[in-house]
Amino acid sequence: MRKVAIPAVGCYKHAFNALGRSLGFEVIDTPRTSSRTMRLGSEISPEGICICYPLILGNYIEAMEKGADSCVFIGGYGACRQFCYGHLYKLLFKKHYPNVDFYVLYNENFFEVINKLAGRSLPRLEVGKAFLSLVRNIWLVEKIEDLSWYYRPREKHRGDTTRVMDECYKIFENGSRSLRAFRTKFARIETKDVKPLRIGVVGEIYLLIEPHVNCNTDIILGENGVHVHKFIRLFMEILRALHLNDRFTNYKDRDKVKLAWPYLKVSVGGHGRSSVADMLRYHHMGFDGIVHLLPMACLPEISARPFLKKIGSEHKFPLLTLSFDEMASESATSNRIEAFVDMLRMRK
Amino acid sequence: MKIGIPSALIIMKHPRLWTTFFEELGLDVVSSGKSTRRIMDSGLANAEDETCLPVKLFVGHCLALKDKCDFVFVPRYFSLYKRGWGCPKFFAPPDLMENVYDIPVLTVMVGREYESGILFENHLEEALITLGKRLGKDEGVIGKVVEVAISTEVEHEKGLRDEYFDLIESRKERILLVSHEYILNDDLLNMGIADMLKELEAEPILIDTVPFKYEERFSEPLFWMRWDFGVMMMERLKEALSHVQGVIQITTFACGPDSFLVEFVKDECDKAQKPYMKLMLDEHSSRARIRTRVEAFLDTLRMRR
Repeated sequence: MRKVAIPAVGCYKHAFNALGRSLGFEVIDTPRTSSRTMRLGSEISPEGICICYPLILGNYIEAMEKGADSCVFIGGYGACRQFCYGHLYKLLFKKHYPNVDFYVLYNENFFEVINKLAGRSLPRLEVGKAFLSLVRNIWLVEKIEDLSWYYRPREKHRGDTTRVMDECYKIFENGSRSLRAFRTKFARIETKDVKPLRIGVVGEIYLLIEPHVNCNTDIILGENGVHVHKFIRLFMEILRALHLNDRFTNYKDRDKVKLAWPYLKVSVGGHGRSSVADMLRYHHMGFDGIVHLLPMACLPEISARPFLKKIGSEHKFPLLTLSFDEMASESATSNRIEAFVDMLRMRK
Repeated sequence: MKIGIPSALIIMKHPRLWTTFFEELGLDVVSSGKSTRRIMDSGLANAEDETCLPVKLFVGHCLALKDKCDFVFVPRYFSLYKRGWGCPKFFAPPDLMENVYDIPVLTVMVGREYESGILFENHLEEALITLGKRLGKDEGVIGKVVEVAISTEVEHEKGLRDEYFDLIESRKERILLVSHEYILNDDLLNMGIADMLKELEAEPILIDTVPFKYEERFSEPLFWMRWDFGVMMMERLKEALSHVQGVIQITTFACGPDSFLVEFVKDECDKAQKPYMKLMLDEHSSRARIRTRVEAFLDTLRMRR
């Protein structure tokens, strides 16, 4: 049985761990991304690269320590540097880990790679079923996150929500996956009657979904009494890859294009244009402010940032942009966020 | 009508083309000229802080042209080839200049919209024709002007190729300078490294003079390198590597594509067993520092013989 390493990204790690068993390979339970991951990864990555690269590489190395013999990376399309990751990993693996197989997954070679991992030719129906259950699991872990965003600013005792969230993930790992159970668990948290600030978080997707690299921005915001909201989530991105996203939401792709049009007329790769559109959308929805997260020197977000600043000054809409690199520290981030939230509160 | 052409970034990819085109159409052309320290400073003060140095310089050039002309010409370079992509920083400049810096902009999309052609002349031809129509000119006139503009550009590139074939016959140490057109042809950005090499009795070969066959590469299936300039750089490197003694790559700080290309270039040089050096430049670079490193590189290269 092959042991496959899939990068552990935020809460989605729990969803991916359950994937392989039905398909005949084992997904290694990669440890959560930590500073050790960062150190291992940055030792052999080129300089000047976006921060996601060494982190994912570190995930692979940690998985290989636990016995993984093949690694999978999902290749991208478009102008963002992410499309290049897989091929550079391949080059590095050839040099440093010649015994490990590295696969870059594209739409064109999806079934080929899955068959290789399983070691036999899988029926398409089986793959489809596994994929559907994966998508459902991703949706579920996102729901847990949604609940935590709601309860964190309202909790009476600091840290209750985070504790319940971890418990929920544990229950999820053990195989009971019903949203109702999670809801009742969260409902037991003691809450106080407050009307929290609402802040939208926009930016690059890896930064939005990986809590270690963004220095737990969600938790810091939540514990300062802010109800967080994000439009960009993995579930929607998977639907987008299948061209299904417009059926599941009333915030469609063409609305994004229309919203961003007066400022930015073209896509700048990645989620650059979405950031611009989302900011305007949050403004129309009456949010109190925006936090923009980006890896240092991220091509799409850097191209989009001047427009965000322009929108901020034109509509008097507060914006905090935080760019992260290997040296980002949690206390510096939390200081800046606290100051921002205080300012928003004074403004009300 | 006066049209300003900033001589930086994307314009440098086809330096003769746009100027000839506007001049042949009978419009006044104002060029921002060579980069100066003042242009650089205004770019540094106004541009986005984390973006790369060439983009900052480009902002400086556009701001310098702001009051001197009716429109600043800023093309949108999506791709030069059918399956290629440009750097995302080449997509946004027209919107950036118009909406953020309030500069009146004349723009045209190169590539993406025009899926018909594979050859780069065709991509540009479509763009030029659209631009001519946008300026309200006759179709007959446009046809002639486009022909002249493209033949000037092709002539210019042919000149570069001839130069390359002369240079690889040279008896001195031949050093290949790997970088982007807008860095190699801008003495402020590259710190005059070509002249420096000449002073040290070596022969610099700029990578944009190396011939390159594009049609074949871009029709490969599962062709993964999507940056057209990246593919060009790699192909030209492979072509020229056997004719040179050493490779110097010049990158600027925070250049996104280069952070990847560096690894592939290094790998290629390792395979061919050619000495390789990377120089990373930013706004604080000093000429003396660069000279020391170039001297040391040449010394090791000569010792190796």
